[in-house]
Amino acid sequence: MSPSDVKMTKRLGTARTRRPLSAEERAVYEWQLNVAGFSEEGQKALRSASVLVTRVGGVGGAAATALAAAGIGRLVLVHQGNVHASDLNRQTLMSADWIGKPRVESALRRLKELNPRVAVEIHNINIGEDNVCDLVASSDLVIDAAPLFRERFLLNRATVEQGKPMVDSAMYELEAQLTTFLPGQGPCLTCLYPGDPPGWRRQFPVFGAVSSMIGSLAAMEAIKVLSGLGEPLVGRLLLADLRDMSFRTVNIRRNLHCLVCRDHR
Amino acid sequence: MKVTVKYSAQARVATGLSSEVIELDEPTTVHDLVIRLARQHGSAFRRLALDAGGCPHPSLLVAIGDEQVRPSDHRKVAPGETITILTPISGG
Repeated sequence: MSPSDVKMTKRLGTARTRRPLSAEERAVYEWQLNVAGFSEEGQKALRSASVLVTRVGGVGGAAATALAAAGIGRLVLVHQGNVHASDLNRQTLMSADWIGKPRVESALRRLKELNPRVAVEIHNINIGEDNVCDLVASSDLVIDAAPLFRERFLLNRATVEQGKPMVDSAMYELEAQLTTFLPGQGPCLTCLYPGDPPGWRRQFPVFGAVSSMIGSLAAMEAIKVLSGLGEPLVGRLLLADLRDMSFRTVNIRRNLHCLVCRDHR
Repeated sequence: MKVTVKYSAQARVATGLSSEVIELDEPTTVHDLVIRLARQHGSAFRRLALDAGGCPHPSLLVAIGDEQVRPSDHRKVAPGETITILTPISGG
């Protein structure tokens, strides 16, 4: 068992210490309880888990939706600002009647409608140096769906230092990328991008179908890591190109000189 | 020898290509191939691919087949290989 696995077990408790699913929970999650390798133990692991999702736009909103539907215990949503008309082609937790009002409040409302059992904590802020450590500490796993590399690097450093898994998801036009960073296993984000990436702009072309697709896959990665199901994308980068519907993975490597994770192995 | 180069995300936009076949007269490293492509494809791609010193940008992701390679490894490309050039993306 790796150090990350040990920490995850400590945080979530062992299967024996978790209370059984209620009849109502069994009814709601019936279709996923039959997934091979998941079962009631996996469901209880999800119910015991807390996931930080930042931000909750096209990608993060889809991830939060899938996690809420799957019965995650607690979601911590971080996204500053109000809903704009231009959000609505992809940010499926927002709605036309919420334009001009805080995004996280719309997300809270929609997620509670979907699954009232999920605890949802909202923060009308963006990730910064002053809040990243506390927000990461409050969760078992991070889904990184930030539009700026500055936020992604802050999340990466905090998750490495705290030994937390981070699912990193991103999109551009009809393409998307996804990987999972587990401290102590495989590379971290700074291993991949040791320098400030050139040419990235805050506004990027995208269809909502692309962000929803990769956000849902990010949620699946989180479910796998938290429940022990399947094989997460550790050390692999998923590349999806919806222009020709090609999906492939590239094996990615640690950087032995990485300034963030070299001392945390 | 011939190799295939695939471009992803902003690299695809900057080059105007999703892929191309490159003819190499002599054994070439990934490092030198990226520099050659940057010269070939103009300023938009050059800004993505090269750092201020004219070397491959450390945050440019390059794969040969399904394996990441770092230009600093000075790995040589072999005939028939497919090299993918990925620029970092952060759309969320």
